[in-house]
Amino acid sequence: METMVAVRDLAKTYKLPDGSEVQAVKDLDLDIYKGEIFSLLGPNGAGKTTTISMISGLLEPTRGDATIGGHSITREPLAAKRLLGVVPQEIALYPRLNARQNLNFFGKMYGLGGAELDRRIDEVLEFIGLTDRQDDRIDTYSGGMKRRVNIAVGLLHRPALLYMDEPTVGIDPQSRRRILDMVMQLRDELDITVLYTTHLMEEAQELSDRVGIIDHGEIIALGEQGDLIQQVGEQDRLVFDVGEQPVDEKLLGRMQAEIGGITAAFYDPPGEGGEDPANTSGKIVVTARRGRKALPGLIQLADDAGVEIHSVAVREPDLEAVFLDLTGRALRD
Amino acid sequence: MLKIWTIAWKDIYTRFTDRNLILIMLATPLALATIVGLAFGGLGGGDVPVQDIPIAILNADQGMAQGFNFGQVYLDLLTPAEGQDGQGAALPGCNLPSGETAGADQSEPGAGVSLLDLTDAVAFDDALARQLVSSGAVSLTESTAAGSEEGAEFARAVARAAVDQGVYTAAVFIPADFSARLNQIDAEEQEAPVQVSIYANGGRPVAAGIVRSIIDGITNQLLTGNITIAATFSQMAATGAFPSPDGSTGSLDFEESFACAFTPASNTITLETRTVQAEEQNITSIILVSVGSSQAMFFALFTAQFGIFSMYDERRNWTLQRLLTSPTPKSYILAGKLIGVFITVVVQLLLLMIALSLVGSLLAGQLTLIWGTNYLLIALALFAAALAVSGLGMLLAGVASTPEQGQVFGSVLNIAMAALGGAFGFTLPRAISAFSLLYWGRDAFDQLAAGQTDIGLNVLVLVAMGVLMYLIGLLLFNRRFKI
Repeated sequence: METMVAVRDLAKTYKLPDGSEVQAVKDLDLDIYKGEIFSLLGPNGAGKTTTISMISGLLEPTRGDATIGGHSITREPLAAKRLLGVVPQEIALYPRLNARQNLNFFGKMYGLGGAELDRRIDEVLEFIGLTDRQDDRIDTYSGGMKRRVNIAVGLLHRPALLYMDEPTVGIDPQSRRRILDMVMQLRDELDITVLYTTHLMEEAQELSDRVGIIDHGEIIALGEQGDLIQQVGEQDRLVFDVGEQPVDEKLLGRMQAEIGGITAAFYDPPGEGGEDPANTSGKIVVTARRGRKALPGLIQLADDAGVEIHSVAVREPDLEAVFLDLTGRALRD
Repeated sequence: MLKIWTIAWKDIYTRFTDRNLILIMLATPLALATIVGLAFGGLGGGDVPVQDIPIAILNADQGMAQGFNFGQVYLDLLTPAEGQDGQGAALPGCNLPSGETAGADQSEPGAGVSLLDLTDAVAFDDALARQLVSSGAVSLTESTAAGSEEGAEFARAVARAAVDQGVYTAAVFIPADFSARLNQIDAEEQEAPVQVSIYANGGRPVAAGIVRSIIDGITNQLLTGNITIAATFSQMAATGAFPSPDGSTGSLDFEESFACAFTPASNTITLETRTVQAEEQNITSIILVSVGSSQAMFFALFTAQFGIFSMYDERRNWTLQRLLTSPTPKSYILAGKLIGVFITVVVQLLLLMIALSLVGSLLAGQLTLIWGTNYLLIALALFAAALAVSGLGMLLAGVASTPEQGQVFGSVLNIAMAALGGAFGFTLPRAISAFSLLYWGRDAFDQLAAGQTDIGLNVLVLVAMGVLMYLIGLLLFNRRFKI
């Protein structure tokens, strides 16, 4: 397989005001292959943003290097950046300009111009389905439409590598579905390599050819989803829907301590604070080696704590379980 | 270069399509300058609040052999003679009709305020200079005092110090050879133009502008009279009716009669109609220029700071990061932002100047070029002012560690600059106001509006301030600003 991104001994150390040092990324080695969707997963503070900031040229590495399409990001930054398209989590657009003006501006920053730029703008506007709204100012768009223009800017110069940072945050399920389809279309039809970060395991599972899990500045797991799930063994994932009831940490502790085979238990609150902002009810998520056997005991403990269980779902092992097993934390932590 | 211009153009476009910003950048300073211009300049016969402007007139003119002393004309017109206002001894033997004055005829309806009301001029000589120094009203620095201990030079030094210290608004210096030079009829004999100098207090721009306007008016009338006489002399000499244009062999009676043409009561240089009311539009223009330029620069300070601090907004909105992940060097981004800010300020100042010209023209009832007609120097002053204004914005961005801190610093600094520079209607001594870039800009525009061209120092100071502040600001900003 041809390598699109090669990261070698990449490290970043920050100096704190008290003179001490924090190593945000520790001698990272990573290869991302051409034409794949690679998801980099990790909790906040794991070193994910620092790693990607170094790869995209926003941060200078303390040591080590990364190449994009064979161009070193430290020695040939402009050549490397020409191959890179960035779709940040934030809506990185000028709200007072319309979609076409935004695309025109950023296109020129990538060295495009004239008739070619006009043609590319028409293409990406059609791709995101906003040709008819191209002359409207960005600040009149819905969240989903802004996200689509945000993606279009990253695609304008036909990059070989597209970095997408949580591109579905804060949008409705329909827009989210549309964006996920677009990402797969980029890989399948345009052969674009996609480096994807998300805290939504379902997205990573649906999109990724390979997954890298980073924690404390190190890659702790890397490979295809099936391989990673096998690494942690077969574990069931029990999801208890508790509606809007508060859940005490003591209950989660008792579940892990008193029921055999439980490896992790956490509360997934409803709305923005949870794994999926679209969720309207809170959930207790438990991973267990023999989930079905542990089910009665768990329901009893919940009942003892005064928490009414609305419904229960038992799921097969997934990336979330892998993540929990490797880091001891949920991805959102 | 295309990328730099693209970044600059994007900023300029977004600024000038923001209605709220337009309101702050253009409408507010225009409205304020117009209101102040109308309030202090008067409109349609209202009273003029500017009165009794203190002026020191140093007439060193030694006159001519026949008794002509054109320099005395300034004193006659601007200082009241005992028992007969406005009549002095410019020319011997000229009898004015009883009660006729050099100032306005107050009994005539609509005559307005006379020059004597408008100004409070004194004949400044060595004796008065010593009196001022000994009474402590004027203090001289040691170097000034040492360099000019005697006579006319001492009087000049004291007059300048008196202006600097606010005793007088302006000092008018009439050279010793003024009459002699003015009387050189043949243009080829003129070695250099005859010059009346005005040393004005920059801290009183409106009053100084009025003084300049009055002195210009008198000088122009003298020159007009002189040209007329020259033409007459030449014609008479040519026809043999009068022996020589230099008067050396002429009839004394004729000369005396002819010389009376220069008396204040005569047509050539009479100021009977030169009332303040007649000058009203001119005064309004002066105030529009003075207040308008300082208000324009005051609001441009905010524009510049807003423009440079937009880097923080770009960082917060991630557009800066997006730019930095494109194949665009950081230096291009910074250059684009700075050029965008500079051009925005230039356009803002230019639009305000045009708008104020329209206001001035509307008030005058005719097209009036209130900023003067030396377009090259006006452009130079405008660019220098824009450089200084945007340089201050850069410096502030470099000094402030957060945009919030910058906004607080900026507001305080801008108001201080405006107060020192005279944008709020009151003025401070030049020694203090010179610390404000607004002072240098406003003074340059005042001078250009009055037809003066000596703005070299103003431009130099503004450019030096601008470049220095840009460099320091850039250095600090590069250190502080992290992605």
